Amino acid sequence: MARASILAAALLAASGCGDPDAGLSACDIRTASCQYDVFLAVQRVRGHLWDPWTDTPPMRTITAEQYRQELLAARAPEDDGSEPEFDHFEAALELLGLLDPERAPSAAVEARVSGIAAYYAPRDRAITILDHGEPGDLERGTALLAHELVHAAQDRELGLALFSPGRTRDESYVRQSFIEGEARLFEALVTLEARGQDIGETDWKGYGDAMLQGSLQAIYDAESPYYQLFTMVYPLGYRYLVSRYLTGGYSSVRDAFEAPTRTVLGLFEGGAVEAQPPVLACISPEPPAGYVRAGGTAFGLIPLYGVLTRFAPDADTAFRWARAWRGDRFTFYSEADADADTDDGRTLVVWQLRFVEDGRFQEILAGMLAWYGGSAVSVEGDEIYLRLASHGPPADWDGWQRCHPP
Amino acid sequence: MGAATCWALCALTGLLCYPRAAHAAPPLGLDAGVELAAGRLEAPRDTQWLLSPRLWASYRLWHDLHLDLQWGAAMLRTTGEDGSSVTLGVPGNPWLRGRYVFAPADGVAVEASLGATAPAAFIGNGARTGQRRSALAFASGVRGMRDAWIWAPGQTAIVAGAAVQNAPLRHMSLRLEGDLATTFNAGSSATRRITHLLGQVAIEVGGLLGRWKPALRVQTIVFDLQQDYAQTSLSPRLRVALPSVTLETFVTWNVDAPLGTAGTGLDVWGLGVAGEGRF
Repeated sequence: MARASILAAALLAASGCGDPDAGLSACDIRTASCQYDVFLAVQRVRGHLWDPWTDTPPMRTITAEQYRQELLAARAPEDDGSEPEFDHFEAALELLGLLDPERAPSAAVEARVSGIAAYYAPRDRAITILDHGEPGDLERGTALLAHELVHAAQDRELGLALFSPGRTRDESYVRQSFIEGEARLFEALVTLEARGQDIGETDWKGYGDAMLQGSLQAIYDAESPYYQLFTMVYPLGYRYLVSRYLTGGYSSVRDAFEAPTRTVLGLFEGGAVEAQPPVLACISPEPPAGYVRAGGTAFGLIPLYGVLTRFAPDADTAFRWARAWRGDRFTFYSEADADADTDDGRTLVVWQLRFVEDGRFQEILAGMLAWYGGSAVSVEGDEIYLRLASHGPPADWDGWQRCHPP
Repeated sequence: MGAATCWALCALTGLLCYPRAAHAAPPLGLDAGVELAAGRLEAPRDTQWLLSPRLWASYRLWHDLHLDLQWGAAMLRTTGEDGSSVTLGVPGNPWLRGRYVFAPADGVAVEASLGATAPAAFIGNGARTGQRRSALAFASGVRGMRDAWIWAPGQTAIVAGAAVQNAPLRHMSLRLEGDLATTFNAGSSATRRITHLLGQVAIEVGGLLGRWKPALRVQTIVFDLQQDYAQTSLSPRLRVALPSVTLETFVTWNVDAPLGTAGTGLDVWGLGVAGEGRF
């Protein structure tokens, strides 16, 4: 009986000592105990129970320099003596103004190193935390880890490698917005728990608007806006999902994933814009003589915004113009019969854009004419045609039938 | 309570019974029961309600050899602030085992068992995968993760167990249980591998007060035999033995994290009713 009393007392002490109202506190995410606490918190705010059959994803911490070296090694050309293939897509982005031709060769790497604090890799289902060498902001670190743990959960439930790619660049941005928007939403809820704040006391809309404004301004200020375009998926996805979450809970967020919008514009408008991307007036043009089609897609609102920032007076105007988008087709061409040794980088771009016919159309047209030159821009009804060439227009550029009606 | 009323109650609550002690050797035949466990979980913007039945049957093959079968399910309803709701159900894994019961001394009963589960807990792929997985975890959690292998999606388990029961004092019963389980990925042979090792120990102290049998079950289950990956629960229970049937009601309280109220635990607890009969 004495032993039973001791056991009962020990159990009561173990259960009674814990504060039943205690949740997550901001902690050092480099420690295993903190990682586990954040893992539980993410499940709690998503309304999921701790699943003992799913291990916490592996986590590692590396320095920013180590990450830089990993990225550089991944981009290094094959050590077989052959010339690296010329990247005509990057050349096309330079023609559009999305990449600064004077950028450093490692600009893409530096943008990632400076802009990322942690990431989840579906390839090995692991989380990497970057140590930038600064004194740790515990709250910020806790939020970041929560964000990546949501991605780990999404991968387990949806398969990110299957869900992410869309049929066009625009559709891919939509899917990435869903993925990042959910992660940002539950990251915010975990932060609230760590602060001991109530969900009802938070300005959810204001948070999303501030996030979007910050992204728009960062893209506007960038010399190579292409590297910053991805930041728009966070606020766009968050804004779309948070209103659904606040009324319908986690199930509403999951229902949204079942039927994502087809365009980023539709995402921004909350699904009010037509579900199907519009059919443009022409099918994909045949390449001019001496060129082959190297690739193409429908870019959508996000890259269009990046382009418009080159000549819009401010970020708000550029975004107002971008929302006039109603469809596009981007195609780029490289020289026929050129291989890695003979390719001198000749690149052509044709970008077919449809807009709502209001005052914005004329503003955009005027901006494009001023930026790209009159020979590069033409109008066909409610569509603007942008034609750019890296080494001067080919011989039959003017006579080239660029538009084939379907 | 009349027999007809009793059977009606059993039919309503279902029939599930945990193995009765071999202290009183049952006649050749079938013991069967149903348990219905329930729980509630609050998230920031929705509420989840769980109803989880578990069926059990034990057939005495030979004097001391029994064949036991258990199978459960989880039914989860998630309701948002706007009143919208999603309801889904997930089956658990049926667990079949052979159990040998003998009495080495007066008043002492010893059991040894060996069995396996079939991977019937299917969660699929897509938007509801996480919720189905959570439903299974919830069904396990409201029971203090007792016999957690029954609620393991995509897993097959081999379970070896032992138990000792006696009545050390008048009006008191004491039962000690231990189980060791190995789980495997259910799937093609290329991916089949050991996924977890689990150890489960429990002690149940009961009173024998006529037909009333209050009891307290204390249980710990450890995953991968690592100290930090464990769940301890307390479950006060009240049984009443009626002619040909025993009814039970219980509450399960998870003590420590991850499911308990202590520290950063998820504060999961459950309650339930059960009935067992002898045929």
